[in-house]
Amino acid sequence: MAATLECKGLTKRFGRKLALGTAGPDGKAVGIDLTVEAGRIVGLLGPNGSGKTTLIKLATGLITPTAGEIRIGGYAPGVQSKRLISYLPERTYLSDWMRVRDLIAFFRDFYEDFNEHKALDMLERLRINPQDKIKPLSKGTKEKVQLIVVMSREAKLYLLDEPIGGVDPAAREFILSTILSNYNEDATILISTHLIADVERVLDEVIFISEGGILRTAQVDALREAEGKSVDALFREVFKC
Amino acid sequence: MLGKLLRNELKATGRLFLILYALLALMTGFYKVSRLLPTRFVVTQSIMVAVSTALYVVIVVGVVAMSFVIMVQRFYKNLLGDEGYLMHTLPVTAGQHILAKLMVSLLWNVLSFALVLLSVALLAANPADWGRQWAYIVSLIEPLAQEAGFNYATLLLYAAIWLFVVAVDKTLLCYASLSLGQWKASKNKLGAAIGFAALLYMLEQVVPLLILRVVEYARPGWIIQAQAPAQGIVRFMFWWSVCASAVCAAVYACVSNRALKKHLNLA
Repeated sequence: MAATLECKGLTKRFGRKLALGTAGPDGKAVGIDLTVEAGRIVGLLGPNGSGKTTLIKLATGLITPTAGEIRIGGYAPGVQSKRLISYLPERTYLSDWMRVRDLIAFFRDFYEDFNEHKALDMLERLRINPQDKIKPLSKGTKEKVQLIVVMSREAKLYLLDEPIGGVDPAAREFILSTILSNYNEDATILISTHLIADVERVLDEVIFISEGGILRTAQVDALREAEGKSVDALFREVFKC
Repeated sequence: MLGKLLRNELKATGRLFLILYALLALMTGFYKVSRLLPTRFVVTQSIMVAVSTALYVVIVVGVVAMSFVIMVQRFYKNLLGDEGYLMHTLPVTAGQHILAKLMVSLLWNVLSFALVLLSVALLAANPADWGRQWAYIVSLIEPLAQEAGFNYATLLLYAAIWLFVVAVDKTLLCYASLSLGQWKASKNKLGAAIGFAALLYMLEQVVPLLILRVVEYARPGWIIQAQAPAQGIVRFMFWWSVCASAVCAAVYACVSNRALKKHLNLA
């Protein structure tokens, strides 16, 4: 069975800047190799500018690799892979003209795996009226609406880019519980963040990424045992400025 | 999936156009009423005619301008701005995105054009008098049509075909410019898109002329002789223009598709 996410020699340049991959001894870019299996909650951890968002955008097909390949469930980024991925970007992508109910209808239209009942239920629990217009909603509420539609899909791979980056601690709690309670055991969740302490308890595996290269991949429990410290403490040590 | 994209596009743009069309209907009525006031209210009538004329012109220009602005704004904001993060992760192809935007943009352009024409016709003549007015318009077109070797209906059909192909061509020129702008520029993408639009427009004017010049150079007199008499030249120029626009439209569609498929650069 194909891995949920697989990268081979993957590099991405923006102009001269190597955003993903590392410079080899001969000056040529060395791409990253990475395999993420199904049924895991994986933390993609690294400081700002380390290549987390670039890797996620490559998986979604929003940008194309400079070299190497990336496959999702065995598919190169395209229509088939997009059916498998539920993506939460770090920014708000909602259209101003929509009401919340329009967004629900939009997801129902385009994704066969969208569970409308689940979405409406979560909206009700958060006291968000589906009739509300999206434009005047606060940033935090927009982020919650976005998370609700993303997590209401029964996708194979959830790519969550900084899902708790810009929200208050109470909202973080909601987001993490939403992720956990909507998590299908056959699915994989890749969470990119630098707020390790908040997400550590939900993670099965971690990928440390720095300056475009993969520093380390490990099971969280094994890592804690081997290092004798939390992932958060280890992160602070590894990425100390 | 194309049907779903079309439905979403119509919902996103429909509200604005329906408001504009309602305003156009309102101003057409206001203009007509201002002309029908009894002549004893000379001052009031003059003021109303002046105001209604100004407002009518504004709304007609608005309908035409908005068709263009919305075409550009929808493509840029929905596919190349933050909304692109959602649109480009849908299980649809770049070609379907382009086709949906093009079809809806053409629909609004055709509808806007038809409604403005209808509005002008309503203001220009009494509906009871339309038959006589149409006969007058035909008498103006007929000599032109005869010169080209057509009857007036064929001339109108040719004009409609030409307008349609040019509308497709220019819409796709805008899409290609915006797509190239986001692909090639890292910062001022809109500025780059305007630059590409100017460049593509210039190429579109120059290249067909150059091809004609080359043909004329290689086979002197061939175009004129092959298309003689003069009516043949008119038809030749019509089909040349339509084909050139169609080829350009196909190139722009391919460029936009490639830029969105292979070189998407969402910041």
